[in-house]
Amino acid sequence: MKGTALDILKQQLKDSPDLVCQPFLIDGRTCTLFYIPSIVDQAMLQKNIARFLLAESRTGSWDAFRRNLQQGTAFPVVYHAISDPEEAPVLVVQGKAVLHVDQTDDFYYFDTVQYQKRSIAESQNELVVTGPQEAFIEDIQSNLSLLRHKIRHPKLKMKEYTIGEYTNTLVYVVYIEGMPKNEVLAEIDSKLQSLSIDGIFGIGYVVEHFKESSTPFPIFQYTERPDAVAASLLEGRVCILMDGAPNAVIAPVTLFSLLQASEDYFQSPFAASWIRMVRFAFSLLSILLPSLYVAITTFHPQVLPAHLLITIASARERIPFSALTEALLMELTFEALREAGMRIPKPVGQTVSIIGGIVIGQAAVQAGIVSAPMVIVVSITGVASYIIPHLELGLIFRMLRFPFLILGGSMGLIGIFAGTFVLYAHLVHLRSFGAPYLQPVAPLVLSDWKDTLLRLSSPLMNKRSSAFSRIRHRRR
Amino acid sequence: MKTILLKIGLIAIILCSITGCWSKVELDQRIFVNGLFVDVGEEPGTVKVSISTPLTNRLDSDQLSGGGGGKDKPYSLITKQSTSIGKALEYIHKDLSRQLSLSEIKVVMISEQYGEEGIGDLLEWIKREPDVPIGAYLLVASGKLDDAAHLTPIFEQLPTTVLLSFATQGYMLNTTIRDCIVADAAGLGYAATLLQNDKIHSAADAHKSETWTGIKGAALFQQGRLKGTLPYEEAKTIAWAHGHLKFPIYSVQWDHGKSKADLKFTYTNGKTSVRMTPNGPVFTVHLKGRASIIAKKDASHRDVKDISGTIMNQMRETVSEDFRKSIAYSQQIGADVLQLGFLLEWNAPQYWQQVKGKWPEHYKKDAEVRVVTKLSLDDYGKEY
Repeated sequence: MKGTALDILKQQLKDSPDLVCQPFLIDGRTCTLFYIPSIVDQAMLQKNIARFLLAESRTGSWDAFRRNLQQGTAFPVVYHAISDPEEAPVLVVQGKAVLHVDQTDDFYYFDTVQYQKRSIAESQNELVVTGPQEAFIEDIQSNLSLLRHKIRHPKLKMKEYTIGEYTNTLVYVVYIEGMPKNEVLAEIDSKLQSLSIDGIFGIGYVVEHFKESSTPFPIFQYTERPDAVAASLLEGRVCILMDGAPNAVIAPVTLFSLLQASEDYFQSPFAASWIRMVRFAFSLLSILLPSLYVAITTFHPQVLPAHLLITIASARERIPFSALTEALLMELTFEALREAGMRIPKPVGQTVSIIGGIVIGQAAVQAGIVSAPMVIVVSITGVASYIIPHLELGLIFRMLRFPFLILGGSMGLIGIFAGTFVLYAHLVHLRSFGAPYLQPVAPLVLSDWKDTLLRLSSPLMNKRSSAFSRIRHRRR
Repeated sequence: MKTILLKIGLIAIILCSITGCWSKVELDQRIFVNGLFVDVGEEPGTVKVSISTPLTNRLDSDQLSGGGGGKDKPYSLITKQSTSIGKALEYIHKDLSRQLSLSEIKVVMISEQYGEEGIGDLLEWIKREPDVPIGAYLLVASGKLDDAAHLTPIFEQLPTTVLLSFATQGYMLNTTIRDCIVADAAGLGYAATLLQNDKIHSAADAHKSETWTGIKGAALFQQGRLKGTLPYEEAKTIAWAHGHLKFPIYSVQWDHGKSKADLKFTYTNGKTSVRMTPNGPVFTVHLKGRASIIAKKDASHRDVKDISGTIMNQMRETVSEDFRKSIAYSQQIGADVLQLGFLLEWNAPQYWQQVKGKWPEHYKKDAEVRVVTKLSLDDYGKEY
């Protein structure tokens, strides 16, 4: 029987040359320690496990050792018995050290996991001038440590899941007890429980399984900032963290929460409100500006001031394409440059950006391929799309630009208005874990306006949003 | 999925029904008319219509940014004659390679002769033609309309920009086509800026002369006909009463002409009111203004503070006199250019109903118009 359990372990871990099987002879019996050196804390293993086993092998008696082992006093660290021997190989590949006891089917494991990880770095994608700079890394324990550093309260709760048939990835759902709506927790729990997947390598793998409705809009908020997660938890939202992912996702969200940046809360309410209004205006421009330009110049030139009209008209002379084609060409070129800029290796990246700048700028205008006002429109739109703090939302806004362009180019302002109505109707209908996506605009919740278009000072924001939390009383 | 397809189909049907593809015209396929000139035709019963358009193909980026280095003029004037304005425009349009866009008309200019024959046809055409903006300004040329239309835009790129500035800069009236239509419908008069042409030597070539156009005064209309004109100084008080006048400069004299001063008004405003009396309505025009003394010559070398009262008295006298003259002339020709009839309609509707039908005659003979000036000095100039 004992041989069988050991055989299972060896059979399952065969062809693993990095596996270490270290035998210790204690009073004529053999105990074997299994571990993979690259994923265990070897210093801890030698100091707290191997050293004691060696001591036992020199002087110890087998019965005393067995007794101590069963009582949990054989080693100065916590260890656990493995009830099902078939679990042993899984624990070994997860970075645990597994001890097999000779002539028994007893297995014990030690929590010796230590993966390679980088140190805590500054946030790269959600920069703030004032405020904390640290960001999550790929190590879940470090991320939880960052979070516990922010919220030191026993009501900070975490629920652990292991997801992925082959990856066995740890996923944590973090929340503050009593704050989130029950249905949000229940939905996340049931979805994670039932998730059957080969493996997950990024938090996006998890998030995709939550998207039941066919919407391109994000129903989660990605963040790499522990302070953003902590603030969201205090709003009554729920956060999902994954081992191996340097981001967390927060749910539920509203469109306006996705347009808020961490920096808003580190600046004065006046500055933050001003920046927020600029951000909202440019977010709208990032969808509508090219289509408005095309619609107005081809269908309704009379709405332009005379001087501007003549300037644009003279710039459009000798351009061989229609305004719509011109806009589509430029927008597609911009998208290609953006994508290339992100993917291209750093040493040649600069060359591409210089060539790209020339292509969509001066040369194209001088060659008479595109007009200068169109370059300005595309540039403003390009800049506007990056003003959106949430990357995925910015991507959707950039994508929506194209259907709006076609609507504006084929039906003028009427097409754009019709498209806007459809988009608005979709957003009104959309929900993120039960939270209306357009709250506080639709439904109208006046108390939430304190932190929407404007950002009032903290003492005035005395209620949590009803979209997120079931406790709305004053924040303490 | 089925529901989504159904929704998309429904949206597509709705969008198709409101689509405007047929009215899609690229900017480089349009000609933007920004000035419309209407004169009597050479044949009786005909009308001569000219359009002024910027030539966008000649406006390169250097010229747009203020370089102005192009040899070719960046504008054109196309003229045709026909029995009606619409027909003349059709003759213009048929010879063009691009589509005429009338929505950019900023200025409608007529000749004095066309005005005297009546601008009813013009107003009627504008009322019916949806593309023409009724906010376009009406100007009247006292000489040949062709000369005014061909003026040399010395400081601007386009002639219509110069004409537009006459209406918008506040040196005279800013009457729009809308004002004319409204006044005509109510049976009231209106005044428009009257321009005159002159020849000046070209800055580029001293042997060549160029057409210069400037403000001459005001043209007074009643029932769609030009009834008379006012000279510049008197016309200014009409613009003042309308509240359009900006920074007028007045000269006053005393000591039998030995002493004089110039005053520049930094603020002007005009208001009209009516009071019903047993003898009929009495209209009062309030002219308010604040001025600075910009020049002074006193024969007795008195300090400006000591003679400021005299200056202001003379000022009030001058303004009142100019206004009285202009009102007297407007009454003489029966043109209610201050649209006092609207005051009656609002304040004494029953009385207005009685006189509405014969208002021009009533205005000519019975209307009593008084002027109250409230002028003050802001400062004595840089001296103080």
